[in-house]
Amino acid sequence: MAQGHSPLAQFEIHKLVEISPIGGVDPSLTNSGLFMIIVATLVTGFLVVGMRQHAMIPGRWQSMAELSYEFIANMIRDNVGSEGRRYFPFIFTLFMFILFANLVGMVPYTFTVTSHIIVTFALAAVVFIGVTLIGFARHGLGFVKYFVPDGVPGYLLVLLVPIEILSYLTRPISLSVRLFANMMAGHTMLKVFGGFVVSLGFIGGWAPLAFIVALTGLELGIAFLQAYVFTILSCIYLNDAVHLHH
Amino acid sequence: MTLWYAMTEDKDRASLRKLDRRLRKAQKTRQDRLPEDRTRLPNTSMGLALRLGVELVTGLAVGGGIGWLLDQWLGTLPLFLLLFFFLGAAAGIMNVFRTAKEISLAAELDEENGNGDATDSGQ
Repeated sequence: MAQGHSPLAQFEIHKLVEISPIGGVDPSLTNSGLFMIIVATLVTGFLVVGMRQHAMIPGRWQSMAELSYEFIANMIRDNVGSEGRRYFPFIFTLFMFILFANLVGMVPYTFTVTSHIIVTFALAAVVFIGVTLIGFARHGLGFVKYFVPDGVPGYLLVLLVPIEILSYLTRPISLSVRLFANMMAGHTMLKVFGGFVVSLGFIGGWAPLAFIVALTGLELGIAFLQAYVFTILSCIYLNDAVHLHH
Repeated sequence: MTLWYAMTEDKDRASLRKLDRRLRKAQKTRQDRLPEDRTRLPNTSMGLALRLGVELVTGLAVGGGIGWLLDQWLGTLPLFLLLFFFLGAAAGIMNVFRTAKEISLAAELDEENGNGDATDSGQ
């Protein structure tokens, strides 16, 4: 743990299993990849084991599995309407993956997958490309009208349409930066205050320790909130593509 | 015995039909609910600041990035960078404006529903 004293050491990527590059792509299993697999396994396990008994009167685990199902189902219905129902599997997977990745990251000595912008950006890019394709599939070229504001004189459109398109293009960036920044800032702060506990010793270390306890609670809240924010913004973007209005 | 059985079955059917009607009605009102009735994002001062800040900065970053890439491609270095920097700034400000409008709309709706303090007590 010599290099572990840097608060940023927790975000380092290590190769766990070296695999020789295939066509210029390095498929080695890293700690990030390992934790993605762990997260996916945990989500699957949570839902499959939780629903194994599928009892009329749910037990604790089944209640939690059903609760998460209903939470996302309601979110889609409220934000996209009944047309959004067919996108439920994707949105649900997105939410559960981010939520579990955030929560697993709260366990000491684990790696937080969502604290890397490339991971959150990949998720946001899938949402962005998917939503754009849905928009074009549902409205054909009429989706272009989304970028043309109503009731604006023609000469202003020259200026406003590029701005609208740029504003649309910022979505995957703001979506991914929001999640990544929250996770990375939180985990860095925890490590920094953890360092204070050690350096202040037995006498002065209690104050930062108490702060870490409070911060851990806050981080748990943020882990949930950011998963929620990511998902609900995806729903809102989906609604824009399905119903074609701002 | 069979007669009694048939009678209860009839009664069951009638109540089932009634239940079916009620279910259908409930489902319809649920489906008719407009997407405007959004589940709103919880608002904390910190969260709001971060949301608006991210919107503004990404507008600039995306605008500048696209301008720079166009310049690299066409070899006209400062032209598109400058142009798209300002367009990106405008897009960022527009995003901030839209987000802020959404937030104030949500606050108004909360007040109308009689839980006006929900915006600052949450989180």
